[in-house]
Amino acid sequence: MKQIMTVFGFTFRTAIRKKSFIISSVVMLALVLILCSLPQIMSFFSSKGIGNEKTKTCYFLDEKNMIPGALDLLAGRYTDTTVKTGEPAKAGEYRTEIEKDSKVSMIVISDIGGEPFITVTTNSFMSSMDAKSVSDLLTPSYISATLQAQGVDPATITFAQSSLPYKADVAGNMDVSGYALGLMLIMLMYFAIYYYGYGVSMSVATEKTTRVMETLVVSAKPSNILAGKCLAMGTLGLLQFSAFLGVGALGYKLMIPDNFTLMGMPLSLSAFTLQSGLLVLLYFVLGYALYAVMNAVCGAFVSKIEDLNSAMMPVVFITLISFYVGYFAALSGTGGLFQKVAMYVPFCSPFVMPFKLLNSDVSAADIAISLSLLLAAVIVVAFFSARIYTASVLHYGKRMKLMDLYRTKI
Amino acid sequence: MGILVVDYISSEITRNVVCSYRRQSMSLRVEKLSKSFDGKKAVNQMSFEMTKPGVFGLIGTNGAGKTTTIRMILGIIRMDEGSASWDGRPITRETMNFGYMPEERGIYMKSKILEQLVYFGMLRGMNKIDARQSASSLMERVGIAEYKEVEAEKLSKGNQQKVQLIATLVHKPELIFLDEPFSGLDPLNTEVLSRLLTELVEEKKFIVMSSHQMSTVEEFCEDLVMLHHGETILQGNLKNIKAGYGHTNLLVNAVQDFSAIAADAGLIPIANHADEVEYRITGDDMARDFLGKLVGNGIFPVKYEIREPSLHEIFIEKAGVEI
Repeated sequence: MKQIMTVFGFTFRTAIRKKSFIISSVVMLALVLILCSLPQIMSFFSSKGIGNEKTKTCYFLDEKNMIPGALDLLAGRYTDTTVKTGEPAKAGEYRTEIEKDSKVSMIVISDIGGEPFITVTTNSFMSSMDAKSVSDLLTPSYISATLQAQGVDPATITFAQSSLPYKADVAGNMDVSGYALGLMLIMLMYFAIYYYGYGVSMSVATEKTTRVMETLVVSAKPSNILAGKCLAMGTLGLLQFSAFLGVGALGYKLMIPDNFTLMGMPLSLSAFTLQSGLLVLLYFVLGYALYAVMNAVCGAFVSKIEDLNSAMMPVVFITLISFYVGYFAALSGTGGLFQKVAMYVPFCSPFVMPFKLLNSDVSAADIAISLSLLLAAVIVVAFFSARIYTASVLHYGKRMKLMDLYRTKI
Repeated sequence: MGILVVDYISSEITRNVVCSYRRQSMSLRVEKLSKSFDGKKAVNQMSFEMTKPGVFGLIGTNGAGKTTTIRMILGIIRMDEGSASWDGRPITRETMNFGYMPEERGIYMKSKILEQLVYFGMLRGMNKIDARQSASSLMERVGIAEYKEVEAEKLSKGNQQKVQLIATLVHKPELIFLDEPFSGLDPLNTEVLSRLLTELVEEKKFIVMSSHQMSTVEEFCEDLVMLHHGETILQGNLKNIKAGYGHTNLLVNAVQDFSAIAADAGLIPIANHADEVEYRITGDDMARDFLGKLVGNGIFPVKYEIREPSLHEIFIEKAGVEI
């Protein structure tokens, strides 16, 4: 144990001082802060910023005045646009102008069989003015004017154009906040498992290729070196992870307005209970351990540092496939065989379970089975990895097959 | 109180005597060590014993099996046959305190010197304070104390080699294995390492040193094993080995030309040095006869040295190769 802690301490100190670690931490923390301040930035631009300046021009052509009050309606909706009445004879000129300038657009109301037909011409499909929203805006005005002309009383017209009141109410755990948080957790879990696992393999490969390993293996048991390294990188990952979450929570508390909504629903961290938080942590620890020991073996395989990426390919594939299986299983709603399998398979469960824990009622039995299988996989993979690692750390030259390494007398 | 003090002194004396006795009685015993790689014998039935402190030499060309032998003794690789024991017990990192400097030097290039030396010491069971003290003291001894807080990559190759040596000695091992310790060192660093080796011998350490540089081995080793393609071609006490060969070489330096007299005496030159000629002789009588002839011809040599063969010459004779 003392040796494991010694390796842990040295590896941890070396890794935390690395420039790559410091830079990635600072960049990630900055990104978290920017993400938290997005609502403020968005509201700044929509209420006070460039929104009030008239930077765009729209020509409105309604020769027969089929939609009364359309000009005012358009000016009220598109506050950054000067809406002008255009001359139908100049429609061709307007179109040429639009082709050259993305800030110019044109709305033409034509008479098709006695009913207005709306054509919206813009520079590209990405323009903020689209035909549907213009139609949605002008239709009530046209219907109202038509009904009024036919002698329908104003109360009936108002009633005919009203919509039923509604509110969205989610009975299960899967609200927008939980969904967004869950997806973010899947991404973070993948990032952490890949990034810190890569750190383990890089550390092992560096020791092997610089021949420090030969000094190390006469001083400490290879399995102790492996355990110390994995623990150190895992702790480092946990610390960095906690820093991101801590800053995120602080940013949520201080920077996100109380009335902020996401897709019409208030943003909340209510899905993150103490229990779900601890289980997510446990999945991170076990998931990381499972992939870290495999990555350590990849590092022990290579004789030259430039061969590390190709040696890591099999593990990278397993990680990627497991991530996508977890991701699609999470998105595929509740229940189903696919989800069940993804929750139980040890390579996928660290990706899918955190999402499920935040967004649906996972039964205690499912959690117990998933965790037991994951733990068993960690033990089995760690046992085989330690053996292969021990056999391969001092093997240089032609790469040996896994089974040959496993059978090597050590 | 008085009895307690006497008891304490008595127990300290007893411990020192026991330690001293233990060190005297310690031995490294290697028996019938064999190892094959892909069916090719790397080491075949090698045996030797080191019964007293000093430097034991493992010599041979590159690929002779020296490193494989050391790795087998230390348990880094598994031996196919044979055994290695220290003080009657198997050698493992858990049961004994040994130091090993590999042939391929390896230190953490991005880490500070003292920090990594303390790490190596702690891995061998030392506490942080002792490891720091021992590392600092060794750094002073080899003259790199000013680089404690410097990253290894900023040191010269020679100084990096010194760091590697300190990593081997930091935990004060009883038995030390040095694989090609002088390889790549400049004369100044060679001198520093030689001095340290001498000090370690004075401290009664058991040192096994492998080398393909015969002159180095001759300087330090009392006993040796000579390997060639994994086979032991010679072993024993260096003095005895040389004495067994008798006086085989004659070095002569004279102002006058004496080549005709030498040819007449049946001497065949084996090397022409800057100001002297070296001949192979069959014994002291041949050298005496030749000296008589020189003097008889009025030639008085400035140098007339009869000597045993060098280890280099013995190796060439035994292995039948030039190195």
